[in-house]
Amino acid sequence: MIAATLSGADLKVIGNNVNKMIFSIHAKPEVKSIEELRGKRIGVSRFGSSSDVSARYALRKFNLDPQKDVILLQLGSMSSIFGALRSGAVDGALVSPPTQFLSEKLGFKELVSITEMNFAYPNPAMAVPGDLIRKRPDLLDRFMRAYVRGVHRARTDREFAIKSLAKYTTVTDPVLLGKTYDFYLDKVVERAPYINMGGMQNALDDLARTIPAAKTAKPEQFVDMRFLDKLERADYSTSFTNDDRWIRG
Amino acid sequence: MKRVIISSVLVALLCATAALAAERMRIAYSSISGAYVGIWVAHDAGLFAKKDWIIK
Repeated sequence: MIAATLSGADLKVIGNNVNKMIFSIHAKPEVKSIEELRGKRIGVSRFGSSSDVSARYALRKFNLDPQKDVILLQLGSMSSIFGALRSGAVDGALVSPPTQFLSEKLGFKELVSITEMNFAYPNPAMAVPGDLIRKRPDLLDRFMRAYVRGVHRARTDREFAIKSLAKYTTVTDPVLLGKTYDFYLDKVVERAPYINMGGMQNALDDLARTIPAAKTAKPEQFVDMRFLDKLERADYSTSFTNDDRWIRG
Repeated sequence: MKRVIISSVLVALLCATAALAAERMRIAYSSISGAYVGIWVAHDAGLFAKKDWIIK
C-alpha cells in the first residue's frame, strides 16, 4: 500500500489489525541454527510480502546478507511454503500460525521467532481508497465499529471464534485451532486497530532499500486517523459489556 | 505495488443500490491468517450487517 501510494495510488491506512511481524523460520531438525542456512534455500510467500520482509530482517540480525548468503524463493501460499519444507524443496521456511504449530507438531525446528523479536510493522493494515473516505466516511465508521466488536466477540466467545478460525483457515485439528486462537487473541491482534507509527516507519525504511521516494516520506502521509479518532471519542477501547457507551440510531 | 497488496487488507465499496437497503462492501485479505480473526468473527456474527449502532 505504501509503495502504491508513492507511485500515485489514492489509498490510506485507517487501522492495523496487528502491529508486529508474526513469523518463525523453521527448518528440518538437523539444522541447528540460522547460520546453518547459509547458502541454502528459504521459502517466503512473495518478494515484498510480510514473510519476505521478516526473513530479510531476521537474516540481517544474524549477520546474514539476504541477497548473498541465502537463496530466497517465493512460493505463494503458506501451505505451499510448508509443503516445500516437508518435501525438501527448501531448507528453511517462513511460517506463521496455524501452519507454525503444525510444523512444530511434525517435528520441524524453530530457528528464529521473529514474533518474539517484536519487529513493529503493519501486518496487516486496513487500506481503503481515498475516494471511499471522501464519499462514504459513514460506511467506514460502521466498518470500524463492527470490526472492533468482532475482536471483542472473538475475545469473549472462544468457541465462536474457533469456529470462524476453522471455517476460514480450513484447519480441523482442535488442538491447532486452540493454539492459534490463544496466540492471536492473547499476543498479537490489537483490541482496536491502533496504528503503530513506528511500524509504519519500519515499513518505509524497508521500502527505501528499493524505492528512493520512501527515504523522504513520512508515515503520516499514508494514514487517515479520523476513524480511529472517532472510535476513541466513543471510548471504544474499554469493555463493550456496557452498551451505554453506544446508542441505537 | 506488490508490497501493498500483500501486506494489507483492502477495504473497498463495491456497490450501494438505492433499491436495496443493504450495501455491499468487499473486503480482501492477502493471506489466510489468524490476524483476520476480528473480520471473520464480525462477519460470521452478522456485525457488519448491523446498521443501528452509532457513536454517542
